[in-house]
Amino acid sequence: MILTLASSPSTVGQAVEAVRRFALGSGLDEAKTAALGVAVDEAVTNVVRHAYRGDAGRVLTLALSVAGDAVQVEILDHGHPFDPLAEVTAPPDGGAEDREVGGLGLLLMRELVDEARYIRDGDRNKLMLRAFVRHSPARREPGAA
Amino acid sequence: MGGMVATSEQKVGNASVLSPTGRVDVETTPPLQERLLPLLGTSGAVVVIDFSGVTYISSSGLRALMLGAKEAKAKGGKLAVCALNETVAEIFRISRFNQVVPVYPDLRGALTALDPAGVGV
Repeated sequence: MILTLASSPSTVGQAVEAVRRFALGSGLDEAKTAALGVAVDEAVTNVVRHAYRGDAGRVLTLALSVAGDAVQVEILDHGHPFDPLAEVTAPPDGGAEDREVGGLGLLLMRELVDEARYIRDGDRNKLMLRAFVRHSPARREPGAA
Repeated sequence: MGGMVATSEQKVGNASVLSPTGRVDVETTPPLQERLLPLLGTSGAVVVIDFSGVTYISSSGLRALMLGAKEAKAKGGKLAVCALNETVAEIFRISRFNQVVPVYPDLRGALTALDPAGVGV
């Protein structure tokens, strides 16, 4: 399933709803679907802000598919090269007085999915997010060697 | 527009309780923030945000909570959240946001901790 969206903050909710319907329909449970939704929210917001630098006249594409036992969301844009995974930083410790406002979106994006990969594909940024339907990839089946 | 967050507000004892519903994201955070910050602008204000109707919070919503927590600190007030669903709790864990605002399992627990006189404890 392919979705083409305008590069505006108001399309973020639309992207999340579409991903949500697709993921639930593909057997992802409610909690993992909600987590994938937040990751997509942060990824799309990031494209609007950084790859397109706030230019609302551009488009981005979401490709939704099932790959093996994973729900896969590919987010493609023709903006400035921007690797969101390279910008992820550890969350700061401490209370409000010790912290800067912001800087958490990309951390959430990476941590809320089972797999995240970025490539610069010609003139496109291509980010792939995956959530596994049955189990997390690190978990071994009971009794496995 | 479908994305708007409907936030109800009630007063319980000395505390203001904000109850947003739906997504707290880049689109719906500004109206929530516009209600939250003035409440915390009064010296010694007590505000609880009840998340029982919230499906998820994105980093935009976390930024608003951070601003609220800073405002509460500056004005000698208190800000807490309660009733996080599994997804919101996971987002708080990843971002270590339970160090920024106290988290309570339910509204009564939050009010008992922040405003004991107001709930008759």
